[in-house]
Amino acid sequence: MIVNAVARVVAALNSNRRPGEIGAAAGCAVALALIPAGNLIWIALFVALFLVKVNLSVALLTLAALSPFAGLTDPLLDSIGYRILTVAALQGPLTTLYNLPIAPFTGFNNTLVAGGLALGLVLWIPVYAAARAFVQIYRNTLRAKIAALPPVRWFVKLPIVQRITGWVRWANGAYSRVR
Amino acid sequence: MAAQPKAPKLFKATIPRDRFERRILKRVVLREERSFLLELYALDEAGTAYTRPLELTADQARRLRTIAAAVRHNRGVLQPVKLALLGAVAAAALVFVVFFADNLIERGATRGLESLFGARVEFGELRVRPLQPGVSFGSLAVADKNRPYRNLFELGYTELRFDLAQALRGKLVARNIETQEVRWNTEREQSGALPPERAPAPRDTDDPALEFPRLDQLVSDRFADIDPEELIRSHYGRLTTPEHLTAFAREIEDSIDRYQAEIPGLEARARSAAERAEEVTDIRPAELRSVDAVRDAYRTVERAYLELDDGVEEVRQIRADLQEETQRYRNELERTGVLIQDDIAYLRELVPEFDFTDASAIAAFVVPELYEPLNEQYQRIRTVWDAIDRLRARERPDSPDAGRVGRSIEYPARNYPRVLLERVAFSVGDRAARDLYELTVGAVSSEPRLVDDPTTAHFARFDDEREIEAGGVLDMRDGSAGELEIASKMNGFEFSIGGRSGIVSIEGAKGKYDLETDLRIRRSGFPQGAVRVGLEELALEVPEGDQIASLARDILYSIPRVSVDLEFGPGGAISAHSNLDGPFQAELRGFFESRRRELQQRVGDEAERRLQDELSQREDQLAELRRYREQVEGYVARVEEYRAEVATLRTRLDSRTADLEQEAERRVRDAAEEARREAEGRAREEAEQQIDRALDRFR
Repeated sequence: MIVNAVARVVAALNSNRRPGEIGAAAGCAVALALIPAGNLIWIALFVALFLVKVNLSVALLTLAALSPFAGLTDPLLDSIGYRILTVAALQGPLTTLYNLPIAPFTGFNNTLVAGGLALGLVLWIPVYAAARAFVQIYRNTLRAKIAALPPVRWFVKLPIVQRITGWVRWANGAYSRVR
Repeated sequence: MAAQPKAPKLFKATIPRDRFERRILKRVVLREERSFLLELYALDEAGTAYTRPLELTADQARRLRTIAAAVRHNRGVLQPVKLALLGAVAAAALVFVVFFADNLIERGATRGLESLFGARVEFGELRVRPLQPGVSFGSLAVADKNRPYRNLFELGYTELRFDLAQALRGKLVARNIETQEVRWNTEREQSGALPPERAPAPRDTDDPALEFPRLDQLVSDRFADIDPEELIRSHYGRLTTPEHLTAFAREIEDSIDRYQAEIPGLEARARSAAERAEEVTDIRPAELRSVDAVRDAYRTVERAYLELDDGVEEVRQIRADLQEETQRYRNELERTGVLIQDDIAYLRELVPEFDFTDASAIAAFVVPELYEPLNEQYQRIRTVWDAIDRLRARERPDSPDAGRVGRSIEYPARNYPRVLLERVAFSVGDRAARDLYELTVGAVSSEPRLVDDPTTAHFARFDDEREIEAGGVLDMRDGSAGELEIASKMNGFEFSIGGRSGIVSIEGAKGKYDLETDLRIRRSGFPQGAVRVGLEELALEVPEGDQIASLARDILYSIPRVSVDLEFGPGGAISAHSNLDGPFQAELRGFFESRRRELQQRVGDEAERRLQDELSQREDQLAELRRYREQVEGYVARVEEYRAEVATLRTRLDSRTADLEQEAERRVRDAAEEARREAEGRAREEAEQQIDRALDRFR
């Protein structure tokens, strides 16, 4: 499954898809990793991943890679979240939000959730830009050089890789036909 | 002839310039694909459209199909197919809720209430009204976990209306409950016990399974359980006599052992004295002819006498010791008699006095009958309290993620508990018309600290003859004592009881009673407070010949109303008083004092019997010592007798010696006289001869 996901990421990097899809996927994954799971904000963001055109493989792989380390940022997120939730100017809107019916499920008044959401949103743009730039640089310059490397050529010719590439092509084709 | 490769619809032979550049070329992101398209399509001379060759190679057609798919994918940011899928899932969920919500909610509510009350719960025709939102059901029966064939309560047709805003916040706040019928303690046809796999796990709590304090232990016949033998056995270690006799017995045993060891020596000594005496008594002083022989015999006898004299002194010393010890033991035994009397007095005092100062005899008669109904109510209260506790235990702290917990910032808001039953009111009839059936329950919540008011309940039932009214307040809010306060009043109820035995035995009783309770119950511990019972129109059937029962009946009949006040103190301690305590106590005191004296006598007799048994064993030992003393006395007599015989012999030898010495002296004197006469004769003769010769010569 991990191999498949990595293969799909490699395929996405080389496919005729917008670099922004990968950039947005990376940005969303960082935000999801920062926000503790189990609240409506996290669930909404996760569901949104499936409803917009972002690269799911990149998003899920990045999320899986970052989640184990998200706890390391908790002190920072707690501090940021507490500052945001206690800003005097925001007390009115936050109180209104707190009294909304669905609000308890969002967990917005939790310092980690608020801090994670804020930092995730802030980081989304640079992560998006960086990932997008990386894809463009890769496609324009790195791809040819990497593809010419002997180990890569050897790897690409492996039967398992050929088979996975075939599956990915088939899946992409089937998806396109459905659409 | 091979078929002509067909290009996708997107890539027609001629495409307007604007469409080609904005809607196609812009969405092709790979540089080589863009180059391919720009090589394939060329801008016409007018500059308004891009055209391509009419005929394409298979490779060109395949590549165009791939690019067309990418162009379609790169159009827009939403995924319409997935959005439609999500919409379909939501619609399916809505349909599912519409068709199956009743069953799901019924099942969930049943399981939830079953876990709260620990017994079966049965709903009838439950309907969910999602738009109100609310729930209605035709009936609800909640079994009593302590009595599976009884229901804790039953509701008829009931409608619950929830707060929609709070429901969307995940809180079950019941704003209004309308029910058409409330009943409790009704019978069930099937057991209401849950199967073991569904029974709630025992709660990890220090609360003991408390029962209402057993009122029938309030006043009991304290003497009935007293067994004199058991009383003595349990206090035997504290008596002085057994300890004294034990030490005494050891001393006597030591003496017996010591003298038992002395007896063979004394016996041998007596035999030796006899032999020695026999040896010397063969001497016949008269037959001794010489002083030397007599002196030899005298020395032999003197030695024997001295030996016998030593033996006499030794045996006399043993006798003296034995006499002294025997006397000392005798004195100890006489002192033991005093100790026995002290011990008996001590044991008699252990028989308790029958004290009515903290217990009412009338209560003893009345309150055992109250235990079952009071405990039944008490257990029912605790069942409901358990349910409220279980409800509270389900309140979980906010936890966005099991592994990552931040801080929750609270903002000003009306924060409801997860479950809140604000008020339930049910009323039928009219108090003025003395036909009322009323129930009110308020502020039942899973988190009392979030509710302004404590949990309250009020029940009233009036009819022509009877009335019952009860109210309870359970304050579990922060800073409160966590007590349930219950006040109830019952008037005009009749009772009829069968025979029972005890201090006051009866064959039956009936009458009217009223009851008032004012109790405070903590989560763990016995209830505290007061219960007041009033009895009127009493009719008692008492056993014939039972003086106490007859006495009780007469006194009960002597006043129109008997009142009994019970006070429940900490730790289940109860005190009870009645308006008939004084006269009844005076009569009963005499009866029980006589029983106490009788019991004291039995204890004393039993103690004396046991102690005298011990004492008689010591007497036996003393008798054995006495036997030894008699033996020693015999030895003393025998040895003294031998000594006397030898002394006599010695005297005779003394006399014989004197005789022989006188005889010898006389003989010597005679011989000397003879010799002197002979010498004188010879000297005279010689002198005469010399005179003759001298005369001759001279002549």
